[in-house]
Amino acid sequence: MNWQKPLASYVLRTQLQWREWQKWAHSLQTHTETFSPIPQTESVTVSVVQFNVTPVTSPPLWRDRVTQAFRQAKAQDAQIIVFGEDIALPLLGVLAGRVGASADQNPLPSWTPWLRALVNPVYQYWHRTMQVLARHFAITTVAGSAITKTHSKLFNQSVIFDANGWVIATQSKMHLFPLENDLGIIPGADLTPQVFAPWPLITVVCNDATYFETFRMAWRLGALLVAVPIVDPEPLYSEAKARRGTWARVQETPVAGLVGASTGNLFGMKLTGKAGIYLPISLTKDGSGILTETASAEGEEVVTAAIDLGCLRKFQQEFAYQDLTDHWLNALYSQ
Amino acid sequence: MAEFWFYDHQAAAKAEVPDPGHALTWHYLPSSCNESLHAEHCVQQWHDHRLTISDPLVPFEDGEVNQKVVQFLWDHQRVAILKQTRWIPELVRYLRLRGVRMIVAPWADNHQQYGPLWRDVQQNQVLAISMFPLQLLLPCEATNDATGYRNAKLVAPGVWCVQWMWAELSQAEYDFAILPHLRRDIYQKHKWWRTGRSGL
Repeated sequence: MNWQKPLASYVLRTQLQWREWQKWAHSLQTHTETFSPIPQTESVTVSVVQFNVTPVTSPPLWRDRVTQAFRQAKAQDAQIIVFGEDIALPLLGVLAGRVGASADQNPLPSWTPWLRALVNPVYQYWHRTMQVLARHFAITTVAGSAITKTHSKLFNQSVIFDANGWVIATQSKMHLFPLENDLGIIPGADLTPQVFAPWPLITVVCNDATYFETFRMAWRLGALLVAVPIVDPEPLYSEAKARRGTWARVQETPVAGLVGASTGNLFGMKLTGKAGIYLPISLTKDGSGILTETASAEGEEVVTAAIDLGCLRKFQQEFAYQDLTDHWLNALYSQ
Repeated sequence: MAEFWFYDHQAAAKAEVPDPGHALTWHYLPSSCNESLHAEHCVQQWHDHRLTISDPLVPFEDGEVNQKVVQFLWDHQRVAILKQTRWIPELVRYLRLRGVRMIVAPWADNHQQYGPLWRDVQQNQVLAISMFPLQLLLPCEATNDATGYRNAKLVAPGVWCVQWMWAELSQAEYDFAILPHLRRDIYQKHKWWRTGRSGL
């Protein structure tokens, strides 16, 4: 029925309780916790968040846990916080029993007809919540990613807010999984330089880190820090599979990788994954390439570490990229 | 079932060396040893090392690549030998996009877990052989423990063997499609391999 999707969208907007949200945001604005810090050029403290994206039945349940993650990051003097992929989808849980699908049990394909009608309300809720919290805690925020509909096209988009709550970068996922193709999501058209970030920071999304090309492009654009929100539908966590992503990429390209991870149960899939901060192995004391990482691949945790930007910058300058001037590279992607 | 046999002629007892039949064979011959097994099939020989195979070499179009890699056909597949101890990930991507399905890297450092060869195997979904010790590297999806490593079995003193099926690669590509999602349009636009870096 044609009226079902607009009705579901209307019900979703109602269930997101914007009036209650306004009161919450207003209370934050009247009790600012801190001032925006002055960025330092030699080091930066980063918190990465492992967040449970199991659907919630009420928006404050999701929002309070996000706020708690910010609070923990602020307590550890974080200047950047990174969340995981698809972090807004749990908000679809407020529709439990109201539309024909359940976000925690029904497989994602059963939601396909509904997604176009429902993604923008949860995207707006996520976007505005992250914006208010970034400003309140004065932390540069890689808000994870969420699906959005723009000009009738679906994108899986990551957003960076600066410490004043301004959007300083958006980046759509460029390398999609087959499942996302089936959902009608469109891959991002380019890797955009994110020039307004106080640190040389670029965000990409999850599967983009499977491809070394992504990090090469980010490095070419001048990035020192590459933030990667991830979600991994693996019921059993595998360290080797996890190491194929951001950890592997920072061994090939001299940047730091900041991974925020989503875990839990969503659309009938069990999600596992660890949040972590990864560096080239020669820049870590134990030679592991892991500056910090969450202890378990399930549940929620916030971990924080300071990255020595001066050291990383020096490593970049010494990086032997003369190999990248070979003539044969011009033919690399020609076929 | 395809096989790769590694002969360490320093350790192998002459009389007990088995004949692998159609397998790809690699001989480690220390300088003091003057063995000449299957001389009619020997297509490549390096200091202390010899590859024994009857199938033809297939040079790449680019001379620069041929200086880094030897390519030949074996078992109806393209196999490439990396002649270097280190390389950039672009090189294995280049080989994979030109149809190579197996990499032999005799001079790669095989002691780092999740090292460069393993990473290139995972992101290009090729098979790879590393030596000292002999190991087969393959996509995580193709190994039971999801590590991407398969150890060799000792056939006789000084003789090791690894086995695989080419269909394992196809299955891994089906389970986790990587190459179909390459964004050549974006990569061509950024051209990071050019000199003159810009900054944020």
